[in-house]
Amino acid sequence: MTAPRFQLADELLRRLAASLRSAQLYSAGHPIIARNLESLSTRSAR
Amino acid sequence: MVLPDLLLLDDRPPARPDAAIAELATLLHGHLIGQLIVHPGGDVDAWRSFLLLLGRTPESVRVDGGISRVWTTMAGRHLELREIDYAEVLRERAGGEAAVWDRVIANCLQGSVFELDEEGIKELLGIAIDSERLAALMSTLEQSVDAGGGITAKTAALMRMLRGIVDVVSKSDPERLEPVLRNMASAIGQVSPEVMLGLLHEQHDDEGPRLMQAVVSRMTDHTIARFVSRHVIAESAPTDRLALAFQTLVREPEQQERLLALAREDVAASPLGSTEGFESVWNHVAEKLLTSYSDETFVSDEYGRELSGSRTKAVEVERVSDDPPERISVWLGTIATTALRALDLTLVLDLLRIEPDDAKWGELMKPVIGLLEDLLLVGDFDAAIEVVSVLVREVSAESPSPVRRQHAMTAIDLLIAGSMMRHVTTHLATIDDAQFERVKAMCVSLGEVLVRPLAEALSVEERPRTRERLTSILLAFGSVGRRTIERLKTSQNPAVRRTAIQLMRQFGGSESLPDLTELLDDNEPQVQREAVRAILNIGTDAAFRILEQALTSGTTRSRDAIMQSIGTVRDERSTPLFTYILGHVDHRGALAPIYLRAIESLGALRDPAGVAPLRAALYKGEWWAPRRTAALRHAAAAAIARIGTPEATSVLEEAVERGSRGIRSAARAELSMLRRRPARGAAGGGEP
Repeated sequence: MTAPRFQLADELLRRLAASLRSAQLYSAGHPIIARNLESLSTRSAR
Repeated sequence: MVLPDLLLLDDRPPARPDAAIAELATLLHGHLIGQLIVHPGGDVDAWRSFLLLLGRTPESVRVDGGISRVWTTMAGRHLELREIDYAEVLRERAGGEAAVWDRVIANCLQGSVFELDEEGIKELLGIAIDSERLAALMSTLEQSVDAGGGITAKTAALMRMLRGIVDVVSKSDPERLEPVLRNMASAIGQVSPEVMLGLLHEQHDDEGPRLMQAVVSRMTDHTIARFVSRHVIAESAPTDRLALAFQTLVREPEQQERLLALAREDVAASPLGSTEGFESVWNHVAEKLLTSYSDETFVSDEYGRELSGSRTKAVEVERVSDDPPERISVWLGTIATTALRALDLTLVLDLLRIEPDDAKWGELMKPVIGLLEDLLLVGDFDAAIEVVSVLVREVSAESPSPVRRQHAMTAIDLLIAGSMMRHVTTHLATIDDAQFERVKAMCVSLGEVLVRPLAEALSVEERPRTRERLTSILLAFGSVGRRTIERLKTSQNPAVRRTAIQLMRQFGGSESLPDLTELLDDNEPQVQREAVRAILNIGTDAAFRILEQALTSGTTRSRDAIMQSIGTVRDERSTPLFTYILGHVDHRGALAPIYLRAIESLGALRDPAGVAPLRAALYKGEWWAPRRTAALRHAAAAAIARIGTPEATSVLEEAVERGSRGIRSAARAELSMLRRRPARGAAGGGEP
């Protein structure tokens, strides 16, 4: 895996972990969950 | 690739270990996901669906056919899930083991029902009536889940096995149920205390507790004593878990003492029994095993009374049941996940505020760090700022307690040494300006200790907006941030090296000159250009000398790059440099082109300050080099004419009247052109 691809994958992993945690910590519809999911989706689109 | 507590990215672990990633790995593994492939195109809804699926219990997903199948039916396309095929794994490991053995274990692990043919049933009955083989089967199953989803998965798999065996025996050979249950009672004495506790508290359905009651009631004194002694000898489990399991299995104090006496005999007969200090070790273990857990030390009498009362009140409220739906909805809102999170935060803040005992206050630091890491991970900065401010307050000089100060300092150090910067960096690009300002203030409040991790984060950061915001935080630290320049200027990333230059420009002063000099030799033209600009910004003779030296001693390529960089700075900042070049650089030899470009650049800038050095250049020349002298004089006269101020015109007029033949010739042509143009004021402007 090339360095930029690894960094992208690493970042995606952290976004997924953050999104999951936000979904565990806050009720559905909370803006923090939305922001984390948005961020995860943006990253995974690349 | 999903491992029990780690995720690998193409066989490589993540850049830094992170508790959040380990938790994610555990969760994915619990769902038996062995590999996760992410394809581009997952929108918010698709990711939300996946998270909701992960939020279900592994058991419920397995009942629906396993996570891979369920995900496929949900039309999830951006993720490819590959489930671990334990049956396959076990076949590879066990080689010649009986097929039924593998199938039973695979069924138990994957949550599917037992599907055995007649031969399989016969084989399973054979195992079930043989206590040793049954114990071995259970042990294999427990170890198989070892690489899997933790105690819950182990417990669920074992419970499925027990239930499956009972079902098969009940249907095929009910008369053997009693000996099979006794064998089970003997076999579960082999499991770990954690799994034993899990089995004893199994609540998946009504059958679990009943089955376990049937098995436990058949455990002999010898089995329980062996269960204790084996774990004491092997030191394979924390004593408190063993004690809890023991006390759950044996309720009566007298019986507990009797069984411990039996266990002691076992341990004494082992090699541990002949070691020095055995009695003392055993007494310590026995004391723990006989001491019941009590919450007395944690709960005051008053709180205990309220707690007991609340139970009665809840029952009363339920009985009356005259609340309108909207009130019930509001009540439910108070225990929603977000509300609980807010209560959690309030509780921590209250504890930090009211706890009078310094040592107990220090014990709060571990959960406080855990809470902060969670908040920063998800980007709940407002909550994180509240908690951080308490720590910062204790670290400040106003803190009345040096002990607390030390605790708070250690907590801040641990927080920063952990995942904090990575979590903050993750969110920097997406938060709004107002929140970013609050985050910046929080970072600065933590003190200089954050500067180094900030520089580390910045030195590898690729995203422009994140880099810009990290730089802004670093600058907010003031002169302390200067220390980071050393690290940043050697980064592999040209953008980060440019950030280092940006920092040098922000901090100002000639202290940066040595660092900037190094960057003049950078391979990246953009970095060189930034370095030249920064040096021009300093604008002292020392700064210009450095550029002169770089121009004198550098390669042709680097010289061109520097001159090009200088040429792109089209404002009065570069006038002093070109003046310096005309005053110090030799107009003959290798640097002649630079001299000529300095003349042209001064003309292009049209800065009135350029007139005097250009006049000097106009009068410079050697009779033995007429062509070079003529070229330079024409260039100087043209540059003076481009400036076009009254002073410039006077210089040309003076040259036409009093200059030597060559000077007159150069000046005359430019003067006549200048006179045909509209006059330019002393302050500049006029020529397009």
